[in-house]
Amino acid sequence: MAAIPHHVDLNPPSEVTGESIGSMPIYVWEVPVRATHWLIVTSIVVLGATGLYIHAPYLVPSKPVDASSVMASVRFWHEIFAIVFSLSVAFRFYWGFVGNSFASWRQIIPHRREQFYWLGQMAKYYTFRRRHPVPYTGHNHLAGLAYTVVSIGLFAQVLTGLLLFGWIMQAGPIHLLFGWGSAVPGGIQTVRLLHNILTFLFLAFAIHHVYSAVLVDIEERNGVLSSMFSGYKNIKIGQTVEALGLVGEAPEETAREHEVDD
Amino acid sequence: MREDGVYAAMVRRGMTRRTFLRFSAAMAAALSLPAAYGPRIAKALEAAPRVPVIWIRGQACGGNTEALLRAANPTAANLLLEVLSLDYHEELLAVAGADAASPLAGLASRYPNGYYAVLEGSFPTGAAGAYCLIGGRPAVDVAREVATGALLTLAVGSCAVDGGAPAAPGGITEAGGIGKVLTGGNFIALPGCPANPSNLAAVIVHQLVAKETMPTDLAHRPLAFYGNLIHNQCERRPHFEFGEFALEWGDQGAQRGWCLYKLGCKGPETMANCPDVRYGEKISWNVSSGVGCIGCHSPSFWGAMGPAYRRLPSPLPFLPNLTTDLVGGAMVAGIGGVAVAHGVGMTIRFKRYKAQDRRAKAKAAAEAASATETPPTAEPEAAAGTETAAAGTGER
Ligand code: SF4
Repeated sequence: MAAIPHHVDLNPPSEVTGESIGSMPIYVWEVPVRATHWLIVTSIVVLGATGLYIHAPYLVPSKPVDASSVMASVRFWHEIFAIVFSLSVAFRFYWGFVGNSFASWRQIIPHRREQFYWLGQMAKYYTFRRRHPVPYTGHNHLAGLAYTVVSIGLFAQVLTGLLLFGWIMQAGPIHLLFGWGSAVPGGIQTVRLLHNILTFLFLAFAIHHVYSAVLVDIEERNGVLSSMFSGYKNIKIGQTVEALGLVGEAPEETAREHEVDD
Repeated sequence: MREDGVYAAMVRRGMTRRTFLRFSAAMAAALSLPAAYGPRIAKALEAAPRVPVIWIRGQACGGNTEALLRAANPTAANLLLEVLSLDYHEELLAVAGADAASPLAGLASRYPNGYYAVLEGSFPTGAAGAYCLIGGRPAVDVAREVATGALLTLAVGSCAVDGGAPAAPGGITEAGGIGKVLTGGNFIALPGCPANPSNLAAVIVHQLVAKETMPTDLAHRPLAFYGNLIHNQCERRPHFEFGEFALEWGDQGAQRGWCLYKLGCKGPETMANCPDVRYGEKISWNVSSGVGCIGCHSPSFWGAMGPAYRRLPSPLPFLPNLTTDLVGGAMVAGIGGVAVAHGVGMTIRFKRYKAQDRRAKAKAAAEAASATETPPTAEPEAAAGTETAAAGTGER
């Protein structure tokens, strides 16, 4: 795509002038995408609750207790889910290179002029200056930008977590690889501060994420919410920016994307 | 046994063989060696010479000297008079005036077999070093002279290691630690506020016995003392794992000896052997005494480990009273608020568009009716569902 396609306005004027075109289910989210998504959701919930406890233990008995090692158990589950979380993040990262075009980093990380154009259109929608969301089959590019930022946060959270683990474990492979927490400017306290702040970033993102998903689901009626379970989105064939060849590397690629709809 | 050696000096001062062996065992323990090393250390010490030590103090509170005077196993007397030959130490000198300064003149000729240098306190370089003078000369110059010629230089206490309190944010004397004195890395750092005198003695004993410098980490701290977390050795750790925390100074939990984590203990962030070696003739250390660790053995702890009674610093350094909970909570609440407001806005807007559509549709229907007299075919429901799709076609 050489020029930004101003001539194509994917903003339907109204239902009065529009023609009725049928939509059909398209397989968008592959199993690894959905699996890692829900594993990450689960682990963020568990890690958030246990992590905030480790940060500021909010359950303190009023008198001595027998055999209820609260902090020990909380830390144990924090570490177990940290492993689940890290592996899920790592696998989703890998899938960004081998998965279908909707899972590809190419659709998530905005890097082409068209993508920035549609990103701006989506921002217009959110700021009430455009009636309809830009119709996408996969991720819209504004969401892609948000996921890019959040992914950096996910990696930072895994890294700071490993640094804290390497700090507490004064020996072993984790310490060997991630025992350099004290070399971070400001020392290990900086690492803990970052780890703590990022937790709130994920909480804030979760609110935004669920809200936008519900909003777009209502607005477009494309079943984006249920698609995270079934993998299928209800798509008006030929009417999405992907189908119109307005994103992606080359027309051939656009064509290939549409081979997945079975 | 050598006449001018450590053991001979101890015997001369009336030390029994038994006390000497106990001292050797204590050194083995301080060096994290098995008890079997006690006799070996004793044997090596019998043949070891006493080391002349020049102790230079810059800007400091004298806490390291205080701790040294309250050392146990070895006691201060053992350490000062037998193991070391402390030839120069401003607080502990008996002589005054020109006599006092004499060991500093002609160090090389005076100590042909070499000497150890101990630096305590920070060394200011602001105002050409005028903030701290020794015998009328900038302390940093004196320290440089002494340290450059020494067999081994020990930076004792946080101030000597990285500048400590005088170099903390807000300081005006441009103070620094051993980095301002020596350019090379040939020194051992014993940070701490104060550094533990047992560790100081153990470094020197190790040097005498093994004839090599102790293995250190990248910050020149001996791994034997700075290789383990305080939190991993703390006597209150079981309370930590049981979730039993003191919530306020002197509350029920504090009286029961519960963990001081919620009161800002930096034990989980600090590498040191305080719980093992303790202070004040081995009586106690601060967590035993009921105050959390403040992380004084950590690099640049005045800046890096504050605030002393909170788990984490403020996320915004220029607003030191903020907490991450406050900032993070506000961020989450803010996003929640924006989402609610946006949702309300979207609903209003949706209704407005619907009304607009209805009006337009009625108008179109009226026009169509007047033109062809046939009703519109599209079901309102279906049209609403496909309006997105419809437009693109029309435009394409
Ligand atoms: S008092 Fe401090 S060092 Fe001891 S267990 Fe509690 S947090 Fe750890």
